[in-house]
Amino acid sequence: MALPLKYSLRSLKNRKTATAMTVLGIAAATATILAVQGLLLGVQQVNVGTGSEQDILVLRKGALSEAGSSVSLDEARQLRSISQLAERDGNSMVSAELITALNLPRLEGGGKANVSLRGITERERDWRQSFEIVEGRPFRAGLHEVTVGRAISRRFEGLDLGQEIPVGQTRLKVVGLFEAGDSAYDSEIWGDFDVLRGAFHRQGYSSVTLRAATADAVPAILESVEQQSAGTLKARTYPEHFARQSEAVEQLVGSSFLLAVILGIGAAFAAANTMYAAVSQRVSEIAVLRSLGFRRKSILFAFLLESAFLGLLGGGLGALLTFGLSLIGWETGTMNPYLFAEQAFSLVFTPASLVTGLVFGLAIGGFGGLFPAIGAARKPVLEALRAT
Amino acid sequence: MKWFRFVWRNATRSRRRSILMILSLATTFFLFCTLQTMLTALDSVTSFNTAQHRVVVTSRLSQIGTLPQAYEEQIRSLAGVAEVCGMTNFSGLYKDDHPDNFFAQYAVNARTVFDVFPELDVDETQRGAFLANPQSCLVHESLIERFSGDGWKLGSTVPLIGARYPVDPKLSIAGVFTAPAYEDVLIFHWESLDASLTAFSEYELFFAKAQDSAAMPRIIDEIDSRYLNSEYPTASMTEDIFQESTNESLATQRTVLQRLSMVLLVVMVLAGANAIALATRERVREISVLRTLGFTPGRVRVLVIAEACLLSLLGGALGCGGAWLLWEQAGPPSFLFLNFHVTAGTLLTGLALSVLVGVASGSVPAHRVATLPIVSGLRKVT
Repeated sequence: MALPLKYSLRSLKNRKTATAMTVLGIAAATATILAVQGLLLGVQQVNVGTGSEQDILVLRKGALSEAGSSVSLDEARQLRSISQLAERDGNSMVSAELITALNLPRLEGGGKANVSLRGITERERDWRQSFEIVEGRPFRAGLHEVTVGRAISRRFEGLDLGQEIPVGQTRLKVVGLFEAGDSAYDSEIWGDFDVLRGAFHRQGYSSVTLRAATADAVPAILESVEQQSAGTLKARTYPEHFARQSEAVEQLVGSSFLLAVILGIGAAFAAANTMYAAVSQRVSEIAVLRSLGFRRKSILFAFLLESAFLGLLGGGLGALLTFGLSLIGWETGTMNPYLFAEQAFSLVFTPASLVTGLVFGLAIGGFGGLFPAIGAARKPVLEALRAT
Repeated sequence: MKWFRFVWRNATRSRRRSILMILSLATTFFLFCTLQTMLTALDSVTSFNTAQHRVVVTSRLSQIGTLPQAYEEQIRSLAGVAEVCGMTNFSGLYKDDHPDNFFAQYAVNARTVFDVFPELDVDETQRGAFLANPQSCLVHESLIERFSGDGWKLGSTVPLIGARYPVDPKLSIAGVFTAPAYEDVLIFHWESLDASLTAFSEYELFFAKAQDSAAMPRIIDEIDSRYLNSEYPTASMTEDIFQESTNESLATQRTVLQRLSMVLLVVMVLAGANAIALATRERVREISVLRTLGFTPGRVRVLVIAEACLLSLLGGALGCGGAWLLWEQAGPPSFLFLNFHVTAGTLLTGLALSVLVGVASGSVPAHRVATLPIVSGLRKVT
């Protein structure tokens, strides 16, 4: 015969302080893990959400990112002659772009950091920047105007609509804010290629983006880029490029798992303490239950259940805390070592995070309660009855 | 000392509970020390020599901007400047983009580099060979060691793949230096880079060595005001400020690590407080007996807090010691951090905090049990 569920729940309610402290401890551990994973997920989402399968990014062979790449005017010209490219108004869809970095003061946390600045012609912008301007208007060719990703404009000083960014002798006026669907472009400033090239004294391009006419044409185009440049340029589809960039993040995800395991073990020890105390306080109660005919297995199960509830409560509370953090929009940014610039991302909380939190809490409760429950089930009845 | 025995006996009375508390604190302290070590590692990303009073001149437009070569001569002519060396971070690759093959490559003005960086210790004949051959390079001994499998030695050729500059230089190793601040560094002739690029003639930064440190603020002012209204405005700073600004970009990582450490401390206090509360609860009656014997509430409080501190200190020592043992003796996770070292400061902070955690977690249970009326304590059935 199993003990009623109520028994386990009421027992927790009876020891309010111990329960509350254990639950809070487990909740803090769970929230820590979920927050770390949520931030890493945020970084990954930024990188994954950028670029279509039919867009091909051309960089110098040794380059890890657009900012660290150079493509000469000649090389870019030759790329325009590649066949099977998509066309728009009679021109093949090839966008040679310039990426540089502006060192700007942060709004929060102080100090300065780099923000990516992309120079592009007005004609190519219209298909490259498929996302929406949410405030203001697009920049115009030949003018010292820029549009700014809203995510990054919130993190830096002087990037609001109408403000001017001083660059040497000139000033770039912010005429529009855009949202690029949580992609990497959200962390960029876009302006006219010729204007930026002049302001930053740059000779060539950083990267060239090609759009294939059809998905089937992609492999042939990748090959012609390599051949045409005799191996000094490399071409990759956007998804592939960003998958490579998030490799460093994958490593971090691995170490966050380790963090979870160690923190979980620590919390399980604390839960075990609570459960041992619970058992020792109820020695005679257990004995009475046994004499009433409850089996060892039922006792074991009841205590395990009690501990599991403890863990679930903690895990749930921790998930709730993290959910709260994600609701306030804990948006932050980090220096992306490949981009050499700041990238904005936010804490991501998904239904999967809730499940992770509950499972994490349950595991802590389960492991913490296992040995105390076995101890409780093994208590000899007679001795236990005599105990008080 | 007589009280220590009393506290020790109490702490070891329920061995299982004490051990569980110590272990749960130890794992948390282990994480705490590891996070703190990550923080110190972040702060030591670059380690320039600041005793050389050098001024770093960079582009005001962008941290990856460039400056004209002509600036070198102009800065050299300023009063108080001993010598100037232009430098460009080539940022190329060796073999492929695997992190194991990453190292820094600087194209420098070979004529002045040894005057501006006297700590570059290269043998006289090797230095002569480097200066004589514009297609040669100098490498730190750490690189010779790392790429010994590829046959790196004096005279062998290192092929680099260009990234920010559209050239793929092939450099022969003319010499080896051992200066500790320049691990994983290769330097080669800026002139050979310049020769292979059209319309370049630019440096990324200049290092201007001042005759003495007193002249540095004036030199910085003079350089920046001279170029303020030019096409290529400059941002000059001392070498240590330059280092700090490089580290500033890691502020977010620092904040995340600091917040995590704070949460860990909260977890510790909760776990500790719970264990101590359980311990005092079982002893309500005997503490009331102590009170009847004349123990003041203050003394009872001190005894309980001392017990919490003792256990917490043991947990802290175990956790911090474990972190030291694992990261220093068994080897650090080098794939993420350079200079990953558990410092004495980190260990001391950990131990000091463990005492604080003890006080914090012992206070509430101690107060409760010390202020409980004796009569009701004696009556209490446990």
